[in-house]
Amino acid sequence: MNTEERDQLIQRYYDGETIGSEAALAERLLADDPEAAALLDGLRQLSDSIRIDIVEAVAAEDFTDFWTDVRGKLPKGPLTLETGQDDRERAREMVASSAEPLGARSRPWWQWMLAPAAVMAAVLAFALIGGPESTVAPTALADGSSVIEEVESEGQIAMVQPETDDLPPIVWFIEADASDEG
Amino acid sequence: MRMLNMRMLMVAAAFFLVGGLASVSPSGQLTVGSEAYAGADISVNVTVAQGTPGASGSDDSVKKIKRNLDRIGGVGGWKAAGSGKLKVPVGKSASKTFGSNTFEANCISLTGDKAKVKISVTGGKSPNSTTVSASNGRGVDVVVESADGKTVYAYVVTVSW
Repeated sequence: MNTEERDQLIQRYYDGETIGSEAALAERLLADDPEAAALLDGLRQLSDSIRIDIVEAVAAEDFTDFWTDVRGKLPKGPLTLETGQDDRERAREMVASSAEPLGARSRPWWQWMLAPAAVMAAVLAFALIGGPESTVAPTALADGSSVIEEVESEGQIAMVQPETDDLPPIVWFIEADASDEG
Repeated sequence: MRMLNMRMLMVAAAFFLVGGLASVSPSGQLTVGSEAYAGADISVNVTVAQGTPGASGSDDSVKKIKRNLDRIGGVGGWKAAGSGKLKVPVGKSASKTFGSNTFEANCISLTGDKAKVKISVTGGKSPNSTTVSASNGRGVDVVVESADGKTVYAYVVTVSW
């Protein structure tokens, strides 16, 4: 195992994404390899440093300019049937559908992480609950040259890794029991 | 009335094109009806490699698929475990045995630019299978890890016709 593979394994171990015997292998590495242990410590420290209470983060946001920003989006001067009412309607829709500040105020960084986190959670949930006769919905990735339409297994888990521009998708099975080995 | 009929014809043509029931070739030729290649064969090429979780590197015997194998994280020590080329008629299956595993390819359909193929690998009592819809020359990498986590087999599958 080279350094990159070791680091990837420790990263998966930290993320709780190891499969099969990988967790045991990672633990052996952590016991034997100081660099691996240091990497894990670093990941934990990084996580602690960026952990943030969402309620506190929202409370810390400054919404005082919210309506000012909305007003700034509205057309100036008398409204005309052709433009003003349309603009006002669009502004109203924006206000009704979004609780976020408009204009120059940027989104807090943690909000950008919500969508990727949700995707990761969905993938992890699939990996964990993918029991007997697991199936997945069609997966079209990269240029869609190879689309995984179904996966069936009585094994503990089935994972799908997306295709890249020049390499096909990977479907990974773990056999149901030791007698299936080989 | 004639104009209405012409419009209906154009709408019907568009519907057929969108629905995949008709196609226009690069030369502009219109083909109406199913493009399924009934009675045709596809070739399924499979290269099998055996690896070990936690190991690193790979044998020269698998250098042709090294890039595929490099994507299989946490597994190394790859060495060739066999290869084969199956000729599979549309709607039929073909299989080949590698060690104690049986590799089977079932060509479900061949339409347009895609072949839908069900790949099954049976080691013990039940198969692990995936259905892939692949373009000519593309395929899927099937990885089967033993329950005890000691052995991994990778099946690098490519379909062509």
